[in-house]
Amino acid sequence: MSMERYILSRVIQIIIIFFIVMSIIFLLFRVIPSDPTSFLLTPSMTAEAKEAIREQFGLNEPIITQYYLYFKNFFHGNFGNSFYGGRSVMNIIKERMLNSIFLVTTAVILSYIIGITVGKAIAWKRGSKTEKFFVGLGLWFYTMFTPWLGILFLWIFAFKLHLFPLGGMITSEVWIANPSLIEKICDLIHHLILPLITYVVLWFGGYMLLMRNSMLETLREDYIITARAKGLKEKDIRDKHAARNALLPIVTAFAISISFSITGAVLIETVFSWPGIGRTIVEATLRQDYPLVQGAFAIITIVVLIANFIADIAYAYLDPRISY
Amino acid sequence: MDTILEIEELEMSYQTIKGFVSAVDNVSFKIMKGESMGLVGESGCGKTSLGMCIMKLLPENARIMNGKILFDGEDIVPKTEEEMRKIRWKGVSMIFQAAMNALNPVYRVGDQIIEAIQTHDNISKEEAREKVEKLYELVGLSPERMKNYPHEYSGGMRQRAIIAMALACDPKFIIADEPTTALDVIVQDQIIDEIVNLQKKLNMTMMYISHDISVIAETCNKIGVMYAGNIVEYTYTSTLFDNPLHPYTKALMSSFPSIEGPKKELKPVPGEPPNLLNPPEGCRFYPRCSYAEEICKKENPEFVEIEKDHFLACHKVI
Repeated sequence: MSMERYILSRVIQIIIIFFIVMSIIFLLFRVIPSDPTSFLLTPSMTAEAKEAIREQFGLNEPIITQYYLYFKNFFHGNFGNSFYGGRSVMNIIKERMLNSIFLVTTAVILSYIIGITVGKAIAWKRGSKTEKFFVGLGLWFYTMFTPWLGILFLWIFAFKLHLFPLGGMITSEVWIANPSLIEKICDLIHHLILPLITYVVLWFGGYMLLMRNSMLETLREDYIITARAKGLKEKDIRDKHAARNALLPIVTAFAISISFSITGAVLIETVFSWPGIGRTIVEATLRQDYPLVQGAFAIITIVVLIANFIADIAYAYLDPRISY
Repeated sequence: MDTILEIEELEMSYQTIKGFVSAVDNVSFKIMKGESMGLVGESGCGKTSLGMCIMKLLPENARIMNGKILFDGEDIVPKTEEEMRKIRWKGVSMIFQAAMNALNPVYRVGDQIIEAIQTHDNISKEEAREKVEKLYELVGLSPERMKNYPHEYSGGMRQRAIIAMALACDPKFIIADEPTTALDVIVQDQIIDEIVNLQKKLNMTMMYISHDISVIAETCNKIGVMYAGNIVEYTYTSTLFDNPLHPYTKALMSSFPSIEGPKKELKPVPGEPPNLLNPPEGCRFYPRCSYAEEICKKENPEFVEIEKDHFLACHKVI
């Protein structure tokens, strides 16, 4: 198969999966044993008033019509308005997702780079004290409970040492005073550092252990002996021959993490009061803000599908043995 | 004639949980410039370990316990990794088995050969590429194939490419480790012809490791017979075939069919090779040897030159 055909077949698969997932979301919100409009209705309302509200949300239509309207509105980018505050769902998601990307995607990329670099190095020095130390450290952080470390960091660095703010993404006083762009960026970064460090500390270990294992497997391959026999420099054997091959399975892990990052890191965002998409979904669910949750699920579906699509293409590009 | 490689009383062991396994023990021999030596023996007799000693490409649990490996007059045993790095491929190169993953699957074959050249010779990528093109033609591959990946080659082509790679830095000495073992007989024959041709054309000095004595007979002018870590007999191919002296060599010969002459029942060598964790005292072959006597159980025979260029380790013949 040519690359074009491979991409085409993947696109078709993705479209099918998309419709399946969207249908599940549609059904999910209609089988939940509570009326989406229940919180708007009060017992004192007349039957006509209740019906008027249901009509306003299109809930009086037959289910097939609702299904049709659901997709129609989706393709027009219309997810309705939030039950709270009445803002357009699309706008809320856009804004919160950007906040999440700012924090979590940065954190994923950082922990990926650190994890891979350290994992590669310790696999090369297998059996050394350094290796044992990092494996232990990585496992320790990886299994640590996120809010616990987050609160610990907040307590030490924000509460005791006053190095960083206690939460949020911006200091409103600074932004009201009409600051310059540099001041704005500094303020953002000041808020970003602590949650970012927490995330990286918790997550680099996973990539590190993954890379170490993959690397150890690659180092047993015959082409590593060939590379040594050819008299290549240690660094070239490690980076060009071993790490290049060891990276292949890690690419998938990266794609999955990237899609997670866009859906937000609920725990980190909650501990640090970061207005990201993960926290938004949790809050919206608790408040039964149906349009917002439904819209967020739909967007997340698309993002995850696209991230996996990119991973597939990248994989095919990185490994010449994959035939399209 | 100049000596390229001289090995003196080499002993190499693998450290295992159960103790030291001496894979190469008391091995001595010489290879002159332009000669090709075949190393033959059963699986696990230490052929490949010996080859890897010469490149000093040993796994972490392997140690050279004793002896000297004089390459071009210099002992390489005490050399550091960095010093060895310069000798590898430029001094000694290796033809690996194509069935192994000897080529890195994610790089183009041509680039992997260029990489070897550029590591040792200070020349531009273009010059290196031209050199690889010539090497491809030399081993019977189309230079256009340089841009393909290893999985796009057939087994025979991969073997040719690996031969081209071994020749890339004009090494003084080449070790071929079972280069035809995994190929079907027709391709095997083509590759053997190719190696014999190249040997004549380039006056290559080489060591050919194989378990197949008939392959070695075709490619090499000298044969070393290895058994349980020892070389037991070493002489010219013709001498060895006309007048095999060691009981193991004799047994090995009668376990292979001959195309000429009357049909004979093939005789397998009885018994199994010894456990090298705990090799028998005395001659390592005596438990399987039909000529064994009292002395064979007690003393390991010395490896001596019993006639000109014919080395042997056996109590019986001396």
